[in-house]
Amino acid sequence: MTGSLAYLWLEAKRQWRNREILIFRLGLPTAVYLILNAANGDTPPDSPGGRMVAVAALAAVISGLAAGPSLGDERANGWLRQLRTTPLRPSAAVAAKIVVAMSFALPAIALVAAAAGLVGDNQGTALGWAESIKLVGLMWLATTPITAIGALIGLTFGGEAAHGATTLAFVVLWLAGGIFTSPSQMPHALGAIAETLPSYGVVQVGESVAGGSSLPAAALAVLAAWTVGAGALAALAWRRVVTR
Amino acid sequence: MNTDIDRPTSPTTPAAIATLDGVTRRYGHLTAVDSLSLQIQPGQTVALLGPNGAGKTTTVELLLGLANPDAGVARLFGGPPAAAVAAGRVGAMLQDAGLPQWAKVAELIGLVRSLYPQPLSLAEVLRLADLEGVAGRQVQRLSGGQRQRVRLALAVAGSPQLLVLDEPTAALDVDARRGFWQRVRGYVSAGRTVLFATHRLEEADAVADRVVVIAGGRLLADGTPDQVKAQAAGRSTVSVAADGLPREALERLPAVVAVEEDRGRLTLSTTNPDATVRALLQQAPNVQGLEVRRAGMEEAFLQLTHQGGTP
Repeated sequence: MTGSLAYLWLEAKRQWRNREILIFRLGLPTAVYLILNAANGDTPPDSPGGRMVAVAALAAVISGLAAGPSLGDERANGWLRQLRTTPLRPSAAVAAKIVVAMSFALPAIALVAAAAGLVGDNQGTALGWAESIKLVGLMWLATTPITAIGALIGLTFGGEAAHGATTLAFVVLWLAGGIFTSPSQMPHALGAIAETLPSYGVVQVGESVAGGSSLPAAALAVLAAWTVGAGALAALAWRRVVTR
Repeated sequence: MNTDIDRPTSPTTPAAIATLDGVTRRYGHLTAVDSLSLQIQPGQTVALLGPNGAGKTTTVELLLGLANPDAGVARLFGGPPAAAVAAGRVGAMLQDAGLPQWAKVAELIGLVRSLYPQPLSLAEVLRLADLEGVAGRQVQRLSGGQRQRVRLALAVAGSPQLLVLDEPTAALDVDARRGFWQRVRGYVSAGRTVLFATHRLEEADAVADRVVVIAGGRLLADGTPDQVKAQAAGRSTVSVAADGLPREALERLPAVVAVEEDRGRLTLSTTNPDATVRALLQQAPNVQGLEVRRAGMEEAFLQLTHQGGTP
């Protein structure tokens, strides 16, 4: 256990000291929010806090998928095999990637919410402290299935293929995942798909908090299904990786 | 656990640290390791010598539990390899294993130290691997030689009883190679066991006290470097000016396997040039133009792998 924690700590330090990672995972979503807000300030809202929630969901997707390329690279370059010659429990390497991905998702979402609080979200929502914290916390928890997808990608594809698969997953969740376009405004078939994607679950969780309504059961079911499904597939992929 | 290797553990054979018992591993149609049996005793420095594609890496992987045998059994410290690895009795340097970017040298060593029950101190590891000057540096800023030393540091940081090195000096120049083996010797002098894979003959000859030659996944020779060289029979040559020497008598000299005559010189192929020359000088003290060419490790190796590799 102490070994697993030591590995987690090293993994966190390693990623958190990298400036490019910080800019991409934390700075980029905040910048996107500020730019969208400045460009579309007068547009009436689709939903309460819609813009903030959408960009926070984008932040969740960016950070959540990060385990994919990271695991893929370390499988390809042999670092994970090197670790398997030490007493570290093999699953600790995957767990550390997921936890560190989550450690970026939390501040990434919080920064977007903070930016919205500072510049004032022009879509007519002004959340109090308690609601803001609740929004950030619940959207963060809703990111879990996306980190499971990231781990699944990293364990299924090695090296460059993991980068490609992560980019594909990002584009699908970004464009078809109900983040900037509500499923109801999409062509019917596409909208039906969007409603089953975890990114839309994250959006729905955020919108429900911003709008003061209870958490939608359908979204929670989608998020739970993706967590269990991607998690189980990742565990299968892991067995294949470990026993060759 | 008593680690005193002089203690009699069993009346017949001392407990082997590593055992391969009729191990076979196939990848598709390729049989990488073919019914290989091998025992490594405590305190040995063993070279696993073979040309590229001989099955060295697969053998190492089978011993470490990174690959599972299709047939046969691999054991470390009397149990499954994974158990010995989990117990921290093994340290390994795999071929071309990468290091995670942005991690600092001392952090990586610290991680490995935290994983083993009785690690070396950080200062000891840094000194042993000659990394004192770069302990705070991130790995992507290291030179190739420094990276290689970091990988050695990670292999020894836990103070494992068995050190396994797969082609550890492949990327190093001559000076760096010499320094590398000096550091490994510094580690091994405490009675530890080392298995290293190499395709460099002179390295096996210089570093190991036992050489195991494999090719095509099969065992070809196993012994001290001298024994392995002797096994490559008839490769050393002793030649003298013919000058009417009785050829038949020369053929009966100790260790001689063949005699050839060419342009006034007789060339004796021998498995033991020392014995041959001593006997030759007794019989014919006045021989002229004596030349001895000892079979290098390279010739011995080429001959062995040629015999066994292509049946």
